Amino acid sequence: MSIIWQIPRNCLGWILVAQFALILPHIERLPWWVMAAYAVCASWRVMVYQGRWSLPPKMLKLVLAVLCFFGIYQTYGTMVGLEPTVALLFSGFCLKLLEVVEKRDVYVIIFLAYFVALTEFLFSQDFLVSAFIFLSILLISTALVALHQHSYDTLNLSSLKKATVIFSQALPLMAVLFIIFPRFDPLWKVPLPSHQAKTGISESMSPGDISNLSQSGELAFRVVFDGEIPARKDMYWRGLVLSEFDGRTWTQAQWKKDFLTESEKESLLGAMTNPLQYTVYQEATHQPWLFSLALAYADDKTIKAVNDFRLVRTDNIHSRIKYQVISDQEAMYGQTLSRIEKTLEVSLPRTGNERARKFAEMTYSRSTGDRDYIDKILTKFNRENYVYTLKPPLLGEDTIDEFLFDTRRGFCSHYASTFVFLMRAAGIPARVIAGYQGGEINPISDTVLVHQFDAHGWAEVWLDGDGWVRIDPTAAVAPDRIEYGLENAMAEEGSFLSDTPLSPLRYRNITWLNSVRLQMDAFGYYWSSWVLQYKGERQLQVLQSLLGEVTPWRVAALLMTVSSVVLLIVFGHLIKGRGEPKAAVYVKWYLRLCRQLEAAGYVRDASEGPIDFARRVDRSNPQWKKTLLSATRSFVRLSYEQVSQREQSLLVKQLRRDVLSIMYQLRVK
Amino acid sequence: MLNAIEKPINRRFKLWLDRRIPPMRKIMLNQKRLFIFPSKPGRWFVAVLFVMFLAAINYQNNMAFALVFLLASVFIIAILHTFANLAGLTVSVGKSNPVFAGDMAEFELFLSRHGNKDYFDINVSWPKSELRSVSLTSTDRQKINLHLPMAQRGSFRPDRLLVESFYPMGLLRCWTLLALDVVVLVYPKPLACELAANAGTDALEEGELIPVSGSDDFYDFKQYHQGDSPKHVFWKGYAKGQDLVTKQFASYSEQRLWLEWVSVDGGLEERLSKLCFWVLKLDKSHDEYGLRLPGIEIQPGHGEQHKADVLKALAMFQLPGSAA
Repeated sequence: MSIIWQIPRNCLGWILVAQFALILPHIERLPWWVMAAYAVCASWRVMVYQGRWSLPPKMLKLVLAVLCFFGIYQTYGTMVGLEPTVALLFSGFCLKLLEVVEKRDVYVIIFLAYFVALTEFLFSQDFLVSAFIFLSILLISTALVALHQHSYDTLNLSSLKKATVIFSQALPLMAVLFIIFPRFDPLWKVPLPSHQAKTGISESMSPGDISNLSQSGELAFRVVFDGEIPARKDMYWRGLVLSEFDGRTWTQAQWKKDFLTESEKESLLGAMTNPLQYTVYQEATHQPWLFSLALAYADDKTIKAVNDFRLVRTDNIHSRIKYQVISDQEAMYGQTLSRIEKTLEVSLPRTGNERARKFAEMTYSRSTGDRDYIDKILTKFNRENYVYTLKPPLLGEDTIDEFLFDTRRGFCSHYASTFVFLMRAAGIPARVIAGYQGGEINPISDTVLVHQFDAHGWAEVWLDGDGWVRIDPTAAVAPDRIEYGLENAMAEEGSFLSDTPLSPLRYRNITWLNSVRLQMDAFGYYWSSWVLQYKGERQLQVLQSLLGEVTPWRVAALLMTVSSVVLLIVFGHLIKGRGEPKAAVYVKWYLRLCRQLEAAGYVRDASEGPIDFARRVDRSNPQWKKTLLSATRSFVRLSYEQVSQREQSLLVKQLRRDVLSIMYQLRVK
Repeated sequence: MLNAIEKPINRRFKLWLDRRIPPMRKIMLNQKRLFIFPSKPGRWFVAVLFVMFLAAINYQNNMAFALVFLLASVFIIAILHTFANLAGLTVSVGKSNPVFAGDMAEFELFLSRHGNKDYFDINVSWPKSELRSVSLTSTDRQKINLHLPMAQRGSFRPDRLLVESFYPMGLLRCWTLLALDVVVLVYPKPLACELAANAGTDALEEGELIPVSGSDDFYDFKQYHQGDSPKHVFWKGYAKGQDLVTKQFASYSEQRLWLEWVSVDGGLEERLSKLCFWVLKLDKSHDEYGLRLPGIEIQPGHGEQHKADVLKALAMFQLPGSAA
């Protein structure tokens, strides 16, 4: 038998649909030529199936494989890592399409597809994305079903229906497994999405840096406060401390990366008189910076406290993370400053920005002290015609001079940078802080949403006795920014999110749209905290509420109960309508009668009709011959005559009474 | 070595199967008769799932966990669906015609359902037959013809029939081995030869004893030759302008022959083969023939039934279970 096996058309169709669905969520991440390769391979395959083209020769396939390999190396510069692996999987996917000869190859494609679906979750687990990926998994399984339905020769919806039925029956089992299965620690280190662009606040700040970020309406992080949410103007989320200045760009100082020891960390906690507890859900930034209010403490192995009183993660953040922080906004910190630190925090480039230096010296000499000097500078920003804008003019060599005396138009980074420069020029230790300011409160989930456009830069000044004190020069220029946020501050200019006209955040003034956005956001939050973060403490809580006490025994019992109930129901449903149809009630009664008679020695011959049989028994003259005849007559009438519903039930009753009576008499005898 | 262990196990398995699923003409598939186990792709699926599971753990990705759990549950649910794709089906036996050794015997089987649920891709085969895949979607009953090579004469009972299905996911294989009460008669393979001279004459003498039957059994036309009786010329045809032909009558060439053990030489099987050849030859020429084998005598006769009897005697000669 050498019939060439062919993929059922139905199956091929579903494979193509499923692959297309799988590629969609990856479109942003995959190099464009992988898409092109898929389009070519898919259409080639379709042409082969229509009999117009033949499969490509071996040589060509080899060339294509080498090209893919080379292309991936060119794009990523390496073959290791998550993105190259995904790209490789996808190109394997495409090429395998041209190589499907046997049934086995179809299985390879389909199993590969399941794996590809999994890799998509490593990039995003958002609700909509997840729902879409599960839909594509359903499509893959549909292809698997279609592979075993040779009777259809076109794309057939019955395959999808079957797969959907199986999936819906599998859902309860999946849910139980999801709830009870312990989440282990990772067994080994795995490659994380590393070829992604970093997002959010970067390690350095030049004039104009933060204004780029403010065009993005993406969520940076979300905060859930245990108690009351602080006022908007008090929420300064510190991320980075920038202490080194090269005349244009502020960067982190190398010596700033010292971590606090455990005991120093604990002493932070002791310094707090009015602790504020909150949880931060931070989106992936592919950088290690965490965001917290001033004087932060986190009891977490993966989080370190830096000696400038902020938190840093041990690894880069490649997926959404959650961390708990305790802060005290009123606590003082860094009251003692070593001489080295002091020197470094006042250091400036030797040359450049001469006008600003002179201005600082002059103003400081006229001031009564540090505080007076600070007030004078802030007053200058406030009184003179300084403009807070998202569209500042470009600056040349001496950025501080140009901004301070000439352009006078700038974003928060300009003000923070200039302010710190003026402080240092006067000999006051100061530094730039980069992070976020404010946030939007979602009343539905009662959480604070901090978006990228909330990115902000401000200053910290060291004052003898007070330690590091936060000063925000932007507040002097545009108090609206701090009180109400960027949107209000930019209302006149109309530049808020002007690069992303479709961002729903732009339309917050349309009530219903805004409420939909907030609803979706709240749902995303619950999804994240209840499903994506379902592990550890939360899992234990849920299990406790389900089982009372969490013992392996009870967990197993839960699993067994749910699975056996589900399986029994499914089995009953499946088996219904298969096998021989059930005999009618009256047949059962008659057969029962025959069995009883057989036991008593009256065996009905296979060729003997019921009436004949009854007559024969009758001849042996038992006492119950009348009853037997009556029962037989009922049976025959029910079997061969058209009787009304009412009559039928009467006859069945009669038959039952007769049979029981005969059985009783046989037993008595 | 392995064979030494395997054989008794196989035999044991067969005995157990015989008890569990005895041979029948019509068998309904149910829990008692169906077996289910992960198929080869199914085992690969489990391996892939395991790798995905490791990925889920290492990435601590709850959606990946959900995916793995979903597919594992699908695997479990698929057990029931795979089972259901055979459950309730009835396999029954149709007719099978006798064949000659060396030929392929055709067996007719029927697959039928009782309800209106669809059945897909059910594979039916014997170890040496081709594999037939049938679906019951629009019909309630499907005929399946399977062919098996017949090597030896005798009555042949095929091995257990394999009925298997991988639908819907291909991850599991549900199967059963059915002993169907089906027997096909295999005649000896015909072997051309001459009948031994003595046997032939003996037979011919007996043939002459039979009076020539009435010459009105029309047999065939033949070209007219001079000397043919004018009574037998087909005048009607000639009148219509056709060639002049003479009617031939069957009784002319009819002979009575005894096919005997001694009429042919060779070993047992060779003799039977040669006799078989002569049975076919004499049947074709409408001769009457009888059969004499040690312990068996079939009176001369002709016709399909006679031929079948004689061939059956040849097929079953000196075989256990032959109805002597």
